[in-house]
Amino acid sequence: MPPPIEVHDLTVSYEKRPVLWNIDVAFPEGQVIGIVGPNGAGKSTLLKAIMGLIPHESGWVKFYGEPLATQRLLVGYVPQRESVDWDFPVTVRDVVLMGTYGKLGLFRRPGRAERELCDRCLEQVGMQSYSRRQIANLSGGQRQRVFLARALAQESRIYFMDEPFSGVDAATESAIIDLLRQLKQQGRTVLVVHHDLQTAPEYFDSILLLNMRLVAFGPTRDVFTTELLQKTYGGRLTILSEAAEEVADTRR
Amino acid sequence: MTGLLERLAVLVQSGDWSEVAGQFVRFWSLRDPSVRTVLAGMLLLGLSCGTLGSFIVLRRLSLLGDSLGHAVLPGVCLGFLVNKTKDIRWIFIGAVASALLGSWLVGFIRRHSRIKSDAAMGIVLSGFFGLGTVLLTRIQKLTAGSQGGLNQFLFGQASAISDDDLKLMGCVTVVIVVCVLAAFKELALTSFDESFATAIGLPTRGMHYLLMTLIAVAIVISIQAVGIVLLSAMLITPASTAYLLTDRLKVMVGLSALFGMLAGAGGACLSYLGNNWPTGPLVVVVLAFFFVSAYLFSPRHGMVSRQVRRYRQMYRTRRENLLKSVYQVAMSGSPVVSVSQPAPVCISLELLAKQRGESPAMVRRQLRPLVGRGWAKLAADQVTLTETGARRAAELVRNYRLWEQFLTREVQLPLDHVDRDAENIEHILKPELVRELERQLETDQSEKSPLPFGGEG
Repeated sequence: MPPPIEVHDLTVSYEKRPVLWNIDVAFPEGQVIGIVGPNGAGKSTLLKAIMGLIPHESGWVKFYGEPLATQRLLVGYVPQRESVDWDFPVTVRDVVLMGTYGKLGLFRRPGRAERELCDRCLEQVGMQSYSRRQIANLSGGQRQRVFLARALAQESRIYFMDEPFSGVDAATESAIIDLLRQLKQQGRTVLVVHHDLQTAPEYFDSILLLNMRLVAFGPTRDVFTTELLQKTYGGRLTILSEAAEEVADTRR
Repeated sequence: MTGLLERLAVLVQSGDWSEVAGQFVRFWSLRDPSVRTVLAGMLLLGLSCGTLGSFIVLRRLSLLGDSLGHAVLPGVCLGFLVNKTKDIRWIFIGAVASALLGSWLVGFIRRHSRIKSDAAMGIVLSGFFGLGTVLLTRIQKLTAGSQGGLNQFLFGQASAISDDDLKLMGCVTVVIVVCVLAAFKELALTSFDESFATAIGLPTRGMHYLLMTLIAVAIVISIQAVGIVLLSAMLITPASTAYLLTDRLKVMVGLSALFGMLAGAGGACLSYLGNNWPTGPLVVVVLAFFFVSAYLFSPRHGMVSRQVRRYRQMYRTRRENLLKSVYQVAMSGSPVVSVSQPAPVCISLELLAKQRGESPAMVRRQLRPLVGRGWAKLAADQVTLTETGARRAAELVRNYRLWEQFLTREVQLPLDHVDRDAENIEHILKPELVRELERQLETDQSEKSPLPFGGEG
């Protein structure tokens, strides 16, 4: 069977400046995989490019051997918390219901089955008593859990999470860890953008070290070595960002 | 405007309200066909602009509504030039095309240069409006004498709505309402979280263009009555008013449509009462009035409501502090007090006044709210707490101590920090939180605290 996600020669530019160079990687099924690298390494960009949220310059991505267009329902997404306006006039349950919209399709409304699914998802992240709250009144960790519940409501085989651990309280952190474990037990594949090196080895089965290009990918114990980390975080790679600057100049 | 005021002043002075009332009745009897047309037109445009306004405000596109409003003018002029008459079909087509071109240009400039979208909107707005004004002047020269009738597009003239216009407005409004109802969940999701919408395969670009087209046609049917200059108010103000009043998107869209219609009808009625005062500006004034009312009195977000809540809390704190000090002054000396069996608490006003550093008369005045609540009884020179009053006082003292202990033991604040933080907390601690505190501090507290834990009477 083809891997859940296969990335071939992916190059992505942001405002004409290349931020990811020639990424080649195939992610194995049923693992929790961390995408780790310094600020500006292009971690979120990689996630978004794989999901087709930003255009790529070259290369392709396949999900179980098929292009994204036919496989969107297999992919669940937890964006960064800051990416939305939390003053938006909706309740917690409304947000979680949005997770079911993909399967519902255009113009069909969520019904009782969808609402029950949402209640179960909220329960899984320990937010069931908040379902009628307005989202503006939630703390950062609670907001993160609402986003996780929404992704669960997508019932996908592959999950993309963009910095779910950043700035959350201890209770939310352990809720996320539990959730990752459950998803893994169910054989799902989870990609997590993460930038805390201390916790990375305990959270992830495999790690992708990224700094504008793929430094290494493999099981955590093979990849999470001083040598490779130095290669990822060390100064030698700054030459890439300088080169990107020059590429951008010629294109302006 | 001075005419308005003078007329108003004359009306008020002469006390001739029967004239106004008569006009009012005549308006709502709907016997006059022109009244019917104007009222129907204003209701329709209030409904369509109000419905779309919520999405404009939530997507932070408020400025876009204004720039599309201005961008229609060249299209209106070109539509007119097709037959050199005010043919509503050509004007409609020209205006919608021109508005869509404008909105596309804003996006194009933003994508392909370093100009941000607010500047891009400003450029498109003024550029199109300038072009439109030039064309308009030419047309007026061309049709000198025969009156092009295009001037009303600038400032609006509701009485110029014809039956043909009304039919078009009706169709457009039906299309808008049907589209918004049918695609409500898609519009909501793309407005809240566009990248998630893209990730699950919703046609976000399609939704954007659908919304832009709906906004463009809503603008086009409204400009004749309201005018280009005031148009953005029709889109933004009802939705902003609704946003202050609710936390549910569906309710917001409904309220916004309702405010749009109410203001439309209100403006039309006021214009009739005032003998053809300008309808469009009146509608906008009514909308502004709605907004100010919501801003001040909205139960959750209103300024006045918030102030009232603050004062209530302040008086409550003051009241309860006094209750507490009556209780503490009376209790000083008796070490253990039971909450379940409060002893009669009674002290002289003079002692209380001395403790608080105030005059007995002042203390007596301050005690009145306590009497009103049934917490205390006032006699000539002394005050007695009732059973409820004593129980509440004991509760307050206990909450305060709980909080103080929590801060020193769990949070480990130094003692001199504790007092100020604990100062007001006993007034706002909810029963659940008190129980939680009790649970956390559940050790051998009872001998340290003069108050027993648990029993609440």
